Amino acid sequence: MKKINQVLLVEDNDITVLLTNRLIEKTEKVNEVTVCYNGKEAYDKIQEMLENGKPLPEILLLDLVMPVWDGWEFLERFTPLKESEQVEIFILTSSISKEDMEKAERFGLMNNYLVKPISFSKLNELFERRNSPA
Amino acid sequence: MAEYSQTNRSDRRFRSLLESLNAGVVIHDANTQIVEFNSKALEILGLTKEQITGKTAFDPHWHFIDENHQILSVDEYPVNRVLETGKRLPATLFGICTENCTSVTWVSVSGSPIKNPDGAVEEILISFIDITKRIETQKNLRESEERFRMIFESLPKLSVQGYNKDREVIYWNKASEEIYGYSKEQALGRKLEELIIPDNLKEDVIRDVSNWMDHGLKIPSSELELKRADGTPLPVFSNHIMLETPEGERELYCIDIDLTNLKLTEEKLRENEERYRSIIAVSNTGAWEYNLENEYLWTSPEYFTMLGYSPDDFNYDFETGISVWQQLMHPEDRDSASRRFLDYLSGEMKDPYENYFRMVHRDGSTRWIWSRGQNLKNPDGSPTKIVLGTHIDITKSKNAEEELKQREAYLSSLLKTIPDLTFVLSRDGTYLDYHADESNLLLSPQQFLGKKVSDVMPQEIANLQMEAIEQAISGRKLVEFRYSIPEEDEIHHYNVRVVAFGLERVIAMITDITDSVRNLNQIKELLKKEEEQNLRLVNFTHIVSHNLRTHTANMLGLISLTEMETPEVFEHEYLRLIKESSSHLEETISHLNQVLDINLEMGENMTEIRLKPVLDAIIQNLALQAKRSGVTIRNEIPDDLHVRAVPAYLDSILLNMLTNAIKFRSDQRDSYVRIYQKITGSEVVLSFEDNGLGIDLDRHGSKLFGMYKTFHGKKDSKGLGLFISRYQVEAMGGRIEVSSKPGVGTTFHIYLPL
Repeated sequence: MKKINQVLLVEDNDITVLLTNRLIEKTEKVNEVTVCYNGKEAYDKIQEMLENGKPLPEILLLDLVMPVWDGWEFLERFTPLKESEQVEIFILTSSISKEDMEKAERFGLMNNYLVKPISFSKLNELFERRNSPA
Repeated sequence: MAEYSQTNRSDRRFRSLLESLNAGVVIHDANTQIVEFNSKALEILGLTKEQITGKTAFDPHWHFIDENHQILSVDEYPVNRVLETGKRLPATLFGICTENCTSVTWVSVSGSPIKNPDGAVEEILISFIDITKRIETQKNLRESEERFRMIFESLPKLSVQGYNKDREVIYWNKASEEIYGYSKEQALGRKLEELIIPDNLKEDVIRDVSNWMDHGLKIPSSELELKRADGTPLPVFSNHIMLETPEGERELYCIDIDLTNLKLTEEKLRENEERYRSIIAVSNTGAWEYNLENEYLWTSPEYFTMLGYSPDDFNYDFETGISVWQQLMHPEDRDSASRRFLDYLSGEMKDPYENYFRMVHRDGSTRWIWSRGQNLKNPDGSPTKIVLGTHIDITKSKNAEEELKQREAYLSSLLKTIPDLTFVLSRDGTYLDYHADESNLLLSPQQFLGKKVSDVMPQEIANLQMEAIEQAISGRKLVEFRYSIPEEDEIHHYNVRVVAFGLERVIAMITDITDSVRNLNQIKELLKKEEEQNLRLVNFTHIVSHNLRTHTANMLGLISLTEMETPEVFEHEYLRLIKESSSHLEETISHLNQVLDINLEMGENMTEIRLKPVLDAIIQNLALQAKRSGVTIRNEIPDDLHVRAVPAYLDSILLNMLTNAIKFRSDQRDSYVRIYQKITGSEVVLSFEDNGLGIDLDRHGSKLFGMYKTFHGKKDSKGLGLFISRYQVEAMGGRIEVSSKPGVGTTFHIYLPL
């Protein structure tokens, strides 16, 4: 089975990073997980990849509440780029507020809104779907 | 003479005979010389013996004239006529005139020839009788008759007709021609009944005329309707006279007066009176006439009928005077009204009389009477003793007037109780009037009355005022505006309400709203602070909830990871409790978020939702849980029921209702929950009926939908669900009710507007 080459996890909480990493690892469907601790860092990282001609991560798991640039600011900067089409973004947040969900809709991420804690099965299903798009 | 002597005796006899005659006798010889005469002849002719003796027919002293006063030639004299013809001259009228013909003696002359045995005329005997008196009388008679005839002829509108015994016309004057339309020529000789008698009268007329002719039964004068030549009826007053001719013939004369005009006038008068009467009857007007001289009061029937009485109800004649009036008067007005009338009568009565007073209707009600009168004037303008007048019932208008007065008084007292300033302004912005406690006025009335708004108020406010006046008048609506003005140490705020009355004026009511504006501003400030605080609180809550969730999510994530990797550790009870606590914490925080998300003004997000499939979906999601708990869920909602709701809230409510029913089922029996609906008026009621544990409403009723109340002592109950459901239902304009009995079951009723 074809593996996802790279997942970019944008998350400032260490425990969440640890947890998510562990779950991704357990799915055995991803080759590499890159972690950025805020939106700005993620954006810069992507820019760097683009400059170096490296392939962009296929999946980006984005927390919303973060220092420097929060998730929204990242989306505002990144989604206008045409390269952003290569990346499937999932919001992974502990916010269940309607306001945030509605905001996600504006970026076309209504169906890519995941509430923490993400379960193993959910993550597994999500990667599977990515590998075999219907 | 010898002969004379010889015949002396017969001669004497002859002479005395001559003398005894009442006629004048003259005997002419064949030469017309007078040979014999008697004294009567002298008397008639006015001659002496000497003057007449030996005279011939020709005598310059006198001459004969005919009845037409033409002087006759000698040949025409009676003696010459007899001489010439040798025959008798029958009695013929001659006039004898002397000299200048100043007086005429009329004589009837006869003549006889006295012939000798040869047949030659020897002598001529002329006899004559003085008929002057008779002739004069006849002439006078004829003249008088002529005069009357002329009068008859020329009488305008007075038709005179004469009829003989056969009722044939023998006389027809000019007026008859005009009135009846037959000319004299057409009428003469025709019968009365053929000419002017209408068919229905013919028999009577013929009978009446013959009765008069034959039996002397007079036809009395009377009004008749006769007939014109053209067949149209002709009203006449007919007089009849019977005359007898010298020959003893009876003639009937009819003198008819044409009544056409009189009839017309009469009719017109009657019409006028009728019109007048109907006006009186319709207008509920009573007429009266008072005669000062004998103090008689005449009244029309309406005078009484307008008060519900019949004139017969009063033992009343002229002589009762004004006591009838006073009797019907309202006691309170009796004296003053009577005095006023009597004052008028005792005055000069130049002006019309006018008075208002109350009279009492038969039914006991009071009627306002407007009495007006006028003195009847002589042709020279001087007053007569008669006053004519009317009574008009003006109760309705009087009542309306009273009502208006009361309303005015009411409004004016109402106005006085309003502490506002009220101005009356004309369309061009001039202050016409005001109502205000003067202490509320910034200017004295003299400073603004009659002046324009722009002269009194600051330009900006004046503009607003003028605009409002125009809008109020042209739009016929209440126009409001506000202005502020610095007074002493504070800015004052005023609210102005402008309403038009008529097309030219408005009332502007000005209310000092300084206090309320101040209060409002304070409230606004408070509200603003409140909102800020609220926003901070909401943000804070979000942050707290988010942060809490972050950690609980991690805890839950870690627990689930542990379960995956080293499930055996959960055999330890403490770890199991940590897992359970984390779940509860997660649920609590989730509820808190939902509460924060309920927007109480969600109206615009409401949509029409077909309920049944939504409910089915939720039941489907709960199927496993329900089966595990042994609860049957029955969806009895009809296919076509639509409700207006916020989709997310509806989901949440339905889910909450069902999970509650499952959670609080009774272990004692087979559990069920059934969902059914009922439409009442403008609401739909969704009912969730279970046979679960039930709630003791007496103990918990008021707290049921509060935050964090639990009622079951069941381990899973956290109580926030009903609180959220209640707020969601209310946000959608509905309400939630519950009926329950511990140990029997619970039914929740959710009312949603259709």
